[in-house]
Amino acid sequence: MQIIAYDPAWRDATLAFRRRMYPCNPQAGDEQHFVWRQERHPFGAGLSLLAVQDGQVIGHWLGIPERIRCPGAVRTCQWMVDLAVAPEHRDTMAAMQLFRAAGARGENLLAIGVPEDLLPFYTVFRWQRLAIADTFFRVFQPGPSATMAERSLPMAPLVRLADRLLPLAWRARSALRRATSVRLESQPGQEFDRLFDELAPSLGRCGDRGSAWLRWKLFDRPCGAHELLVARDPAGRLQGWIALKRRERAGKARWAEIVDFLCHPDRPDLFDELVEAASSRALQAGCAFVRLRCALPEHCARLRRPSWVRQVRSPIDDLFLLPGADPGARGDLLGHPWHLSSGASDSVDTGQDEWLDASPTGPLR
Amino acid sequence: MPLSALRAVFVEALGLPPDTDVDALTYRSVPQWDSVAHMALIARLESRFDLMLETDEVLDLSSFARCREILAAHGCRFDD
Repeated sequence: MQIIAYDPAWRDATLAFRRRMYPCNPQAGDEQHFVWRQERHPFGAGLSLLAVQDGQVIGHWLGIPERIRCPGAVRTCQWMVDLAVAPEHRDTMAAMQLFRAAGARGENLLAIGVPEDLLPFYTVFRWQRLAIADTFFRVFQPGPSATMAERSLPMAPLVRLADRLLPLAWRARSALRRATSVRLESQPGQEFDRLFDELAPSLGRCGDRGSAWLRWKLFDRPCGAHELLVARDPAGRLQGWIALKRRERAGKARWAEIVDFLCHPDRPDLFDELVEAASSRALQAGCAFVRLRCALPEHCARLRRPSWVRQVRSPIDDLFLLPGADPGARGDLLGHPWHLSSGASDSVDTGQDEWLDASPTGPLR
Repeated sequence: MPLSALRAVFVEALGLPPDTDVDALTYRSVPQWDSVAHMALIARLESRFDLMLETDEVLDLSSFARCREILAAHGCRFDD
């Protein structure tokens, strides 16, 4: 078995492998989606390593590039988004070799969504673990949410009644708090770059969320329903934004996930407006709940009961980081605070992990 | 250090019955020793014997006997 860097000549074999590994996620093996994610990212190509044997792909380590704006520096990183090994080769050390090869490239590596049983991989390969974020839920319908979590709620008739009445109450609340300054937009331009440059110093460590990233992530993608809600002041100046995507697990629930957001931590009113607007969109789309991963203390402080449920999903929400050969990267990246809302939003998940500790990625054993 | 200390780490990390013939173990010779358990074993070895294995050694540690050799290179010698 060999570990090699991905090359477009391997695209068909890689896609066939990914279709086999992720049968529940059509995007994983879709050529357009793969090319968009792998070859059209504004920050460059993702680190992609293949385990090959006898001309066949038997394992894949896939990263997505990221630029982390740190105090005084910009660090280029790779989000580890997929690690898969063919079932018939899981009694080999293919997964370990892929892990080792990725680390040996000397790049700064990031991961989120690590399940408990895979923690030893990260420990042994010297990844650092930062508990910097929690998950918050706003529940509109407890029934479908419980189904997603594979939990049974007592008093089923009451739950069914709540499933019908609560959305009405939420809609009434949403109408009362309607954020008039927040609108849907689809053409993020240079003013988004200026806003990010202005806000980045107050966010600690934060992924580059300028216009190029927004266009790539939200609007250039070949599939997926993403929306960008933008807050402007009365003069039309950009103040902040929040991005939302809808997800659905057939027969279980439809829900919305905050993909990312940007606003000044000292503007709690604006943050509230943005999350209210996102919740309102989710309600309109018939979602059972909204999920928001949040890290900055100023923002987390706004997500209180009874509107929000805080779910500590360690290690799922923890950031795992392997500083690369770049001098100074360790000191820059291992500090606090971070502004991190969602680093695993394209993951293949079981659905259950939206609520519980469960593997959000393909099986690795 | 008694060899029983090393055997105990294998039994604990891999979740093996106490009467397992640990000295004869090789990677994947028992269902419990898969890649995830391998990493748990490495983490347990490093913690118990206060050492840090190189990644090549992590991959090379494919049997109890080989483990004994690798740990000996780190100054951990086990007496039968």
